Amino acid sequence: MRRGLPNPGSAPEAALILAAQARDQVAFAELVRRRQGWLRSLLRRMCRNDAEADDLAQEAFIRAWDRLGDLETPAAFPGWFRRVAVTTFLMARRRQKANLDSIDDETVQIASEDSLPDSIAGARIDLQRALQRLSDGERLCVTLNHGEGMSHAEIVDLTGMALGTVKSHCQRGTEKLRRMLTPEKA
Amino acid sequence: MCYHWNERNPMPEHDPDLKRAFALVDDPVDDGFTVAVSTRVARKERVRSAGRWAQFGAIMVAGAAVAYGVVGAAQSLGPTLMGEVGLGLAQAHGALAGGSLSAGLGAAVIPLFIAVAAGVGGLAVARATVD
Repeated sequence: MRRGLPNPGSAPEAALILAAQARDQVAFAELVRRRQGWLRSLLRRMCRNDAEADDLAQEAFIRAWDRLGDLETPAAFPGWFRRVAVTTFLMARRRQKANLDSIDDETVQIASEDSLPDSIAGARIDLQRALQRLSDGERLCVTLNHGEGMSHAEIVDLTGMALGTVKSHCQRGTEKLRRMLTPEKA
Repeated sequence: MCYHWNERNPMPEHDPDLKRAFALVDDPVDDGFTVAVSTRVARKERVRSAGRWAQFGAIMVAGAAVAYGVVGAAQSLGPTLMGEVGLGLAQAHGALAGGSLSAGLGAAVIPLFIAVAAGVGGLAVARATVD
């Protein structure tokens, strides 16, 4: 007979986290069900394709399961889990030998808008597609900055990138996104 | 539309329009994902559990081997060592009773060495067991 939370579906998140720390797999599954939307969305913004993002999301949940014992209080879970997710993403990028510190030449990137399909170029395009036109570093920084509401200093702390690089990625990424998301005036 | 951020007009850390655009994106949720993660977690726990049992079995086998060796050594060396200790103590007692302190200490050296060696050996085994 399973011992654990009597009704995980209606349990508060803090109770689920404590139960998962005690190796309750059902409680952890409920945690996955509740948190997967946020995590997959975050990783889809940071990755170039959804399949890769979902694979990384699974990996991040497995890492979280392995390291839940390190979490001191359930209240710290959101920030802790975000760190796990971003670390998982960065490790994957390192395996692919991606260089997140390289700064793209803005003129080249923006000039390439001319070659975009009609549905994108000069029109309002959705955020996900716009993000995919940014460099890896810009996408990561812009997502954490605007999507997660993190400051430049917090991004530096989380990613280990230099402050100047983070600021540059945020500035260039933001400019590009605004230009892509703003309809051109006739 | 073009944005020019510079020293006099620095880019704000948070752009409200973009923040709103990020918030509007729907989060992907499906049961298949939950099942996939749960399956991987369950498999991982099975492997971990099997590893724990294997470790327990290895420790038990190692413990039995050590106990077998210790018992064998005690059976063969025990009487000799106890004899040495008894003889040494008796000689030391005799020398001290005869009034010769140096001869008493000399006779007690072997039993003392044996006792110290036994103590150190016991502590080493205890520490290794705790580790």
